[in-house]
Amino acid sequence: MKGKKFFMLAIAVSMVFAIASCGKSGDNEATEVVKATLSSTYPIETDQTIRWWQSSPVKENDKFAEFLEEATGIKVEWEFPADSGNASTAFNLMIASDNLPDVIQSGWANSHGGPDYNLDKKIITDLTPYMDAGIMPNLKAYIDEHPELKKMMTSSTGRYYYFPQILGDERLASFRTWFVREDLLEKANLEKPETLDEWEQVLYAFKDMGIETPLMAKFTGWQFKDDSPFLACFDTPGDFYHDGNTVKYGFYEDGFGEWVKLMAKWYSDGILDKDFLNETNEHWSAEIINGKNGAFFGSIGGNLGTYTDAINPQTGIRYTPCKVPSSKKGEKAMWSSKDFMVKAVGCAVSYTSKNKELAVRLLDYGYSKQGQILWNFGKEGVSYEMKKNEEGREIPTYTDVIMDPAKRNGLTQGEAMGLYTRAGMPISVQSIDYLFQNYKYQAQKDAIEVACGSRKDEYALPLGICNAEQEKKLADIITPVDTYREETISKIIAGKLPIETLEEYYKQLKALGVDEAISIYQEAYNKYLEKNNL
Amino acid sequence: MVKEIVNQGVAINKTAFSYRFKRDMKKNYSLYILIIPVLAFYALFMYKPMYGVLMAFQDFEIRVGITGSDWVWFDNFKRFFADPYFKRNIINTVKISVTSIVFGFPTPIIFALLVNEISKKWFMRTVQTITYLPHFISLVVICGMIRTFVGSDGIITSIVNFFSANPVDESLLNNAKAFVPIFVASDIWQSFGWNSIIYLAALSAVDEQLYEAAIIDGAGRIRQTISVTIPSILPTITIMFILRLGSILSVGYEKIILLTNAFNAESSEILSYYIYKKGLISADYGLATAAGLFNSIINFAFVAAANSISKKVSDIALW
Amino acid sequence: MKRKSFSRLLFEIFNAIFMSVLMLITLYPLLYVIFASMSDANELLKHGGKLLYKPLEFTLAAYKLAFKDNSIVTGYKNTSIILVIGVPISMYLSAVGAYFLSRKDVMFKKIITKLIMFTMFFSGGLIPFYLTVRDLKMIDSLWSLILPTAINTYNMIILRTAFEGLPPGLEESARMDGAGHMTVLFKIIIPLSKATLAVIALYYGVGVWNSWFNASIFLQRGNAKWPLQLVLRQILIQNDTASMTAGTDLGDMERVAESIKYAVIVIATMPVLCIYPFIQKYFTKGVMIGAVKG
Repeated sequence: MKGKKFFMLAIAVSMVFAIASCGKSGDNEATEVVKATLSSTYPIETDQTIRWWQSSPVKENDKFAEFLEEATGIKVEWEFPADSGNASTAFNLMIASDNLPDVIQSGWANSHGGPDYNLDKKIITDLTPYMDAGIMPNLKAYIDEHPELKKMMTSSTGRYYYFPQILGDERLASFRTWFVREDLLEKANLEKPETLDEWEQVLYAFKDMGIETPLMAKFTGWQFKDDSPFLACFDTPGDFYHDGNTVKYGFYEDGFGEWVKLMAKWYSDGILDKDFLNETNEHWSAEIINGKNGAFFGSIGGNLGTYTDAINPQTGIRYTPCKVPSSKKGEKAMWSSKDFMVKAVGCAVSYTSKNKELAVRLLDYGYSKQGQILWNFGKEGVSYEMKKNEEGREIPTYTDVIMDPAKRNGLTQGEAMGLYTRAGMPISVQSIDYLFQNYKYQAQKDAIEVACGSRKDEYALPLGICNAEQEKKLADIITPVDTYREETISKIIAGKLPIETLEEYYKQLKALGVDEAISIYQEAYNKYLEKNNL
Repeated sequence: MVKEIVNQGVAINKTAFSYRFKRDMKKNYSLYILIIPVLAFYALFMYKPMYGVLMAFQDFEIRVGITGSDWVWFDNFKRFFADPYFKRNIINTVKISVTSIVFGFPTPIIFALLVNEISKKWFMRTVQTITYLPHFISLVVICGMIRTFVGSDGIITSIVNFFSANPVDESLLNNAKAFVPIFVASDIWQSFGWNSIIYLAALSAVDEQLYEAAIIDGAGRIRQTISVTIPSILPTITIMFILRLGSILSVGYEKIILLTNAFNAESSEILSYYIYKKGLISADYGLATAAGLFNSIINFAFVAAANSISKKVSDIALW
Repeated sequence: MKRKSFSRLLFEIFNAIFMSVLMLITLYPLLYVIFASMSDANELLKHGGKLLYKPLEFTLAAYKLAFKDNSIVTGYKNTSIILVIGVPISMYLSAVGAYFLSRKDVMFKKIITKLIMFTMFFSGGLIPFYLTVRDLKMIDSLWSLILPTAINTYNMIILRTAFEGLPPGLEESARMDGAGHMTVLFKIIIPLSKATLAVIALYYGVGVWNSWFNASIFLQRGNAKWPLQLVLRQILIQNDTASMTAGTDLGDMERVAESIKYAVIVIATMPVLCIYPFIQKYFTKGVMIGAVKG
């Protein structure tokens, strides 16, 4: 048929073009004999420039860039995608076009195929020889002080592959927590709830006091997984996790069914947000600001901060943060929304870089004492000064160019911080002192203390343990499972399907291949345990 | 010509390739020169990159490109068809698409015909300028408005409740049966003005003399419309229709993302959205390309069919 | 002159009423956007997305924020350059292509038509497209926003339909007078297709105006060459992230993330709304100058 002929012709023609223009750089097989050649002190004398790619823009007049160059002696050319909303597209095109910069800042720990894939496919450089040759002394020193971090920042084959963002304090791990109406608690003479039972008591009390929607919630996508309210109280988190050495799937466990029953009860009693599926930011904000709500789970900065700004103080509406709800009094909750101490985002050195040692030295600076201060606070006398804080410790304290609206040239606090520092995403150890100075309301500072209180570290699966093949198989199984679960569970909770449907739910999950997904994960996890001698 | 006299005894094969070729070159030489930049464009920007289609048959990895990736032949397609939700995705896509064509295709045409009947020029221009405005408002804002209008206390919900036997007090978007009407109706609302522009242009090109002849024959306005207007713009309508069929499987997911939720998912999960969801979990270029290729083939089949039918029935066709 | 019949009058009245209703429901989104863009952000949040009849606590803070740095002006400049250079190129190529595709008795027309139509359905995808542009050294140049998308086959087909609709006698009589293809195209076909040409110019122009994705992948160094929509998109995203770090001191910059969404749409859309009246000029009832013999 004529159609087929054209198709073949078209393909053939373009293959010719493709092969003719295919100039992919073959192998950069410089055998990695790594020896230190540069000086071991900063600033380093060099006239080479390092190209650094990251997903968020760097302004022309960026002060932090100046400080970094001054301190390390290395000039950096910053590259970023034109549209930060499409950063992954830009990232993929960059990889496809063989034009890799020296340093790439991205989520390497859970990138496609995992760290070993990126190392083996010659996208990024294996940093282990550099570690061994003593070219990364600052990071090495920090790991020696905190040996438990080593397995979090090495690949499944034990190789170093990136310079990560490390959290200097557990309290930096979580930006979201539970908030409850303090004024209502006072009126009802109740304490801040800590266990599931206490929460139920409080929410029902709010309902009796005339609150329209005691519990606001959003139950879609990732919120179902990480932030399903009170799910952890049933001894099961959403998503995959490990109990000891066994991998389990939270949504498959019995505890999940119990949670669904509770949510269904709360829905029909009017405790749970009737619009939990349709929540828009506008509606959510309106309800909270107008006081129609009793409790919500949200972010400390973006949610609590925004709402506190918008709430008319005369209404007396006040929110206060709560501990992560647990099933037993006094015990820490099993799971919460929390990052690892070593974050997925960090800087890798590209395989094709011609300045690997220089790039490594540049990145290693962030982990030194001075480097940590630079990344978090900027330059002394300009963006910070050493002052005593309330506890009497001397800490870097942000100066007026960041904290005083009158001296900020029309920038917001966040913008000013982004101009002089990289406190929000340092290739370094993030300082807790930054966080406390960042928030202006006392409720926010209180929230920092409680947001991270869970035992998630005991149960969470490490990042990036699956290879590309396993990822594909998992996606094939989990996408329909997610789809089915969201639809069915939402309908059960809203009363559109009877509770008995739960039986069918578990059967259907089995039929969709959840057991196979679990065994794939188990395989990957076993390999991880083996390689790390655990 | 001397040649002809010499060849007189022998029948000239007028269908011989070389004969036709020479004649064509003589007549249309300048035409072919004229069109060289157009051909260059297609060769360079459409055909040169077309080898990308081969990704559908590979386990494509970006770093090593097409020449370095493994060939899995029809594996990607097998995985694509084997997905438990495949059938539902296709059905939903087709439902939305067909409804959209049935209701959305004639609307701009009828609108254009009515606008054409407005006698006061200033009113006609105002109507045109205002009705095409929603096309330019971003999808995010439009969907925000839709969700408000069909929300639990939205104005459209109230109207529907007034006429319905079972009034509801939740968003209409929670009802899977309401999804397609909401999706298609809002599409029409947003685009009928803009889509009518091409028909208004075609209407303005209709020969006045044909109208005059019809009036002399005693035709009233309706008769004129049937026997003059519509036949004159029929080529435009036909081509637009065939082209429209060319996107029968291509319902975009941007609007779906903004309106879908777990309650209406059984009607709102379409093919492109599902592939997008999968892509968020694992960057599977091979599968995405296979899905796209499948899409293209179906679209192409529909257009080819419509084209043949149109050729047989009338003179109008895409190729 | 002819008096209107009663039924005709009735029809015109109903038509007018119907059109007015249509105008109301299509005008509302724009009014909402304008009002929201001039409203106080906190009030907008409280209002929760319900109907708007006027700005809530009138303020121009969102516009002030949007125009804070020069990027919007640069954006307008770049988009204008692309329009001024790109649309004529697109129009020329489309007209030439449509002319070719509408001629009779051209030997290779059929196969070229098929090859062109094929590209409407099958394409190689983003990565090969990007690599092609890269190999032509157009990365970081405004040409990458003009040439790779110069011809939209859909538009060209519409133009071809218009050309085909002209009486064939025109070309024949011109040929008999000795005119070549160029003359036929530029002196006869094009002047008689003004309405469709205007529409296609509008399509191409609006296409350029709305585009940002290609710019986001082809322009990699700095933002000096960004077209308008990309600039606006970045403003939106930055304010979204700014609002995520809110609850920090915002100083004199009132929190405008909500209303800036709408201000951006107004900035992006206003010029386009003013264009249409110019296009409508071309929709005059075409009268054939009697060059056709029978």
